[in-house]
Amino acid sequence: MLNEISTIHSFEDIRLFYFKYKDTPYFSIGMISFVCLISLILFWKAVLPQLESWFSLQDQIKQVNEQITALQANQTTLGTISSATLDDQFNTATQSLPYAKDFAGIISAVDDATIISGVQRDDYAFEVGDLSTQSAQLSPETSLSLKITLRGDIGQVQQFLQAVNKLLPLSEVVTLSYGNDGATVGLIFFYKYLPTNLQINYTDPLKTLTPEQSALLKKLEGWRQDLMTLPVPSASNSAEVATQSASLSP
Amino acid sequence: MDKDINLLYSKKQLSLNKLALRVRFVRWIAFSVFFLVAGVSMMFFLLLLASPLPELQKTESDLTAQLSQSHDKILKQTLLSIRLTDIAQITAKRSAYGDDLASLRADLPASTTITDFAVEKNQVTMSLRASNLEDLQTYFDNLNTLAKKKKVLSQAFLNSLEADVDKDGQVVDFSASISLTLL
Repeated sequence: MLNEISTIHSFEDIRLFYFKYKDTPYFSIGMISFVCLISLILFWKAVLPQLESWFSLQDQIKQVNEQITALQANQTTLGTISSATLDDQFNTATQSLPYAKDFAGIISAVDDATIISGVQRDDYAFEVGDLSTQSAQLSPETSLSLKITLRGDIGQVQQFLQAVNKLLPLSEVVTLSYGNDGATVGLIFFYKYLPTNLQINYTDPLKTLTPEQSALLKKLEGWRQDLMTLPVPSASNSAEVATQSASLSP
Repeated sequence: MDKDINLLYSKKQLSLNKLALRVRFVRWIAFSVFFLVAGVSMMFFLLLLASPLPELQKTESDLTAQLSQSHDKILKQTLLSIRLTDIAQITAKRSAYGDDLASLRADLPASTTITDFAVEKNQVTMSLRASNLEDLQTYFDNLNTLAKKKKVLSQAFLNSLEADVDKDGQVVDFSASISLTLL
């Protein structure tokens, strides 16, 4: 039969070959083997990859659906935030913890605390250093220190400390030394540069303010409002401010 | 009996028929499997073709485009949240020496004054002057109570107590030096 296969050259030869062997066991076994082989190839090369693609597709659909849900949630959240309120809140937060060394804000806070408490203070100077260079942004330093000498009684010094604690930018009294000659107060004013690796991904849940953050913001806004209602510094105070500005290190 | 006429199958013929039946059965199974595999393949092809993924991806890109128009607002909201977290950390950790001093002064008897006051890293050194010892004692008791209640301070220590005597040998006033550990 194998010799006969080699003699097949035309369609007629195939027909004759088929009719000659169609009822023999060889034909049936050959046919079954061929169909099984084709089925196996089809399963291996078509069904399995398709099955894999289908599962992968389901994963993608699930992911995209999740992203759509997140995007829609962010869109809804964004709709509830008023731009004007956000600007106001952002300004309060930035004033509280500036993005750079806010030496002007520091001078203003010290002046305001002086006015509130009624103490007299001597000239003071502080090292500002780099303002907005990249090296400054990479620096781990997040506060400016300042030493100030005050003249007044202990009650006035106490009022100064309490006032400066509620003024913006945020500060901390680190040292205090009070005696007959007055008080020397060591202060640090906080600042923090913008995060250098901040990436906005629209599918990340938009960070809304927690109740604690809202309460904190309310407190800061209260301090800011108090600051706005402070009496305007007198002429002598303004002159002192000018002296301090002149004595600031570059 | 005519040998050419035989109406019954021989044993060999019967066995061949059985084999042919089995072969036909196997052939039927082979074709069934083939059509099944082809059908499943076609079904998956149609399922992949009718996938809602492109439509979902378009919705996603539309939403992203809409949100990108509010990029500044999203950035501001994100920065606000980060900034408030930083502020919360600062306000939670920073000292409030002004309030501490106010609390320490609140219980100060009328005849007693603070002559020196120094504070650093929650350690207070305070000098007092009083015209009578009872007032000083009252103040020490008050400080002790505050330390016991863990209010404002956790520890009070009397470093020294001095009596100032005038030329006539009369005690004019008393001065004391105290160390306190603030909370």
